[in-house]
Amino acid sequence: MTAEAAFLKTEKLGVRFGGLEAVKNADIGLARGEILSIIGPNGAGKTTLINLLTGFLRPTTGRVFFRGEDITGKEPHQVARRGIVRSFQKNELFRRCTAEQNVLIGAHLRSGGQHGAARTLEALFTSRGTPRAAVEAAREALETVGLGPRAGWPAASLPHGDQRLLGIAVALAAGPELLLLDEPVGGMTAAEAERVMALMTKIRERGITIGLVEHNMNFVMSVSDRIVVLDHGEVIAQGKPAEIQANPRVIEAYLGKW
Amino acid sequence: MKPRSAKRQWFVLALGVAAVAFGLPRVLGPYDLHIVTLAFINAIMALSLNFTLGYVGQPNFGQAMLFGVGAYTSGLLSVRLGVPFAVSILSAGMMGLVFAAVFGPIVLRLRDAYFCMVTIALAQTFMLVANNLISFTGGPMGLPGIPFGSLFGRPLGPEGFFLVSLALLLLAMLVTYRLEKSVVGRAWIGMRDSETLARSVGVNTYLYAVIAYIVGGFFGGVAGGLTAHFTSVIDPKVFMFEISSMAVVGTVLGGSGTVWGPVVGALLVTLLPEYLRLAAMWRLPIFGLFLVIVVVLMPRGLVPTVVDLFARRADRTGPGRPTAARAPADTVVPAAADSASGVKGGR
Repeated sequence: MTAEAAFLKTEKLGVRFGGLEAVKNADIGLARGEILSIIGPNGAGKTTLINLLTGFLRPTTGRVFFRGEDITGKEPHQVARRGIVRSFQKNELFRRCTAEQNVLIGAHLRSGGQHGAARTLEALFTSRGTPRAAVEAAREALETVGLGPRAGWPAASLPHGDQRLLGIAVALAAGPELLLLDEPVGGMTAAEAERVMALMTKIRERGITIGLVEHNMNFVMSVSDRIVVLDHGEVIAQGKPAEIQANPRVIEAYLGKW
Repeated sequence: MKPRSAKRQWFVLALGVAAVAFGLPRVLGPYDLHIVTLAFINAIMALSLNFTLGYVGQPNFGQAMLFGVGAYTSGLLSVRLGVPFAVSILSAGMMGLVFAAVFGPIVLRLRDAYFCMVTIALAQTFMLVANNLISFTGGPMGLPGIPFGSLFGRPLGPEGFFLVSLALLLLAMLVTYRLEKSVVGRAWIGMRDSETLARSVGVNTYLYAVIAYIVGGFFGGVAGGLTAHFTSVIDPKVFMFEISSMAVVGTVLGGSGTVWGPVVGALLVTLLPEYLRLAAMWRLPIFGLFLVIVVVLMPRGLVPTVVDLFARRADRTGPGRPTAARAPADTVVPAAADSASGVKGGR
C-alpha cells in the first residue's frame, strides 16, 4: 500500500471558510528525506495548507496521514509530538526572551514537557534540572543557523534576517522529523537567502524532511527536489523543478491566459 | 553561572532573611509589626496571582475567589471544628488548590479579555453564595471568633504570626523560583510571548495554563487562611474585587513574571498607603500618582527595571552587547501584549 509507505500524505484534504474553499481536494505526498516546495500565487492556500497539516486549522474534508497514522484534527502540540514542527510567515518568536531562551523553550518536548503534571512535581520536589540532551539540542539548533554568537541577544533586538533564522532554530530545537517552513526567506536579502539555502541542505543531511512555502523562485528552484503548485486552493501541478517551469498551467496561474 | 557567585547570592539571601526574621520584631512596635505581617500575607497573595498573570500572561482579575475559599475554609474549620492552626492553613491551601482544579479547566478555555471577565464574574458569584448561604457561612454578618491559633502547643503571638507569614512567603517564593527555572516555567513564559509558537513546538498550553492556575490556587488559599486567623473575623468581602485588584496592582507594580516583583509590589501597596496616612487627605492622590509614574516610566515593573539598570552599569566595560534592558519595553500588563495573532487559544 503506497498510502502507508508515504511519510506524509493527505487525502482529499480541504477546508471551507463560509463560501470560500481555501483548500480543496488536496492529495499531496512527501517522501522521507526530500525537500518539497509548495508554491502558488497569493491567496492560493499555501499557508492554509500548513495550518491544516499542523493542526492549527481543522479540515472540513479529507484526512492527513503521518507515517501511516491518521493525524486529522489533532491539536498542534499533539502534531508536534509526532514529529511535525512548523515555522511562521509572520515571524513568531518569544520576543522578550533571549535567542538562547527561545531555543530552550523550543526544546520543550526534549525536556519532557509532554508530562506537565509530572514535570511540575519534579521541579517542586526533586533537584533534577533540565535534561542535558535538551540544553545541547537547543544550543546546537542555535549554532546550526549560525546564531551561536548572538545567544544572549533578546529576540526582539535581532535584525530581521536573524529573527527569521531564530524562528527556524526554535523549530529545529523541537526535534522535528518533518519541518514545515512558511516563507523561510521572506523579506531577506539575496545574501541572506543564500545562507538559508545552505542551511536547508544542512538540515536535510540530518535526516529531517522539509516542506516549505516560498515566493522566491530562485530559492525554490535551487533547493527543491519536488514542487507542488497550488492555485485557488487546488493542486494544479506536481513535479520536479524543471517540469514545473515548463508547465503551461503553472505559467497561466502566475501570468494569466492570453 | 559561576557556582561561587551563586553560592554567595544564597548566602546573602539567607543573611537577609535572618535579619528580617530576628530583627524586625525587635525593632518594630506592635502596630508596625501588624502592618508588615499583613504586607507579607498580601505578598503571598500577589505571588499566587503571579503564576497566571505574570508567567502565563493571562489577566486574572478574580484571584479573590481562591483567597476567599481559603479564608472560609480556615474560618469554618477552626470555629466549627476547632481544628489546629497548622491543619487549618494547610486545608485552606488545599481547598484553594481543589477549587482551582475544578474551575481552572473551565475558565482557561477562554483567553485575554474573556478570561478576565469570567474570573471577575466567578469571584462575584462566590461572594453572592457566601452572602446567602447564611446557615453555613454566617452570611453578611460574617464569621467571628476565629482564633489567632497556636503552633507546637504554644499560642502564636504577633511575633509568631509574623514568622509563620514570613516562612510561607518564602515557600511561595521558592516554589515560584523552582518552577520558573524548570521546563514548566519556560512553557509559561513561552505561551506568554507567543501562544501560537509555543503550541507549534509541542507545548500543551491549555494544560500548562491550568497548572499555573492550580499552583496559584494553593497559595491564594493559604493567603486567605492566614488572613482569616490574623483578622479573627471574615465576611463575604473576602471575595471582593478590591482583593483581586490589589494583588494585580502589587504584581504589576513590582514586576509580574518575576520572583521578587510581586513581593516588592505587594509590600509597597500595603505599606505606602499606610504610612502616607501622615499626609492625611493627600494619601490616596499621592499613592495614585506614584502608581501612574511607575507604570508609565517602568512598564515592566520596579524590580526588572532596577535589576537591568545595575546589569547595564556592570556591562558598560564589556562589548556593546544589548542586554534585556535595551529590548523594547513591552508593557507587561498582559491583556495589552501579543494578543493579536490569529490562531490561538482553545477552540
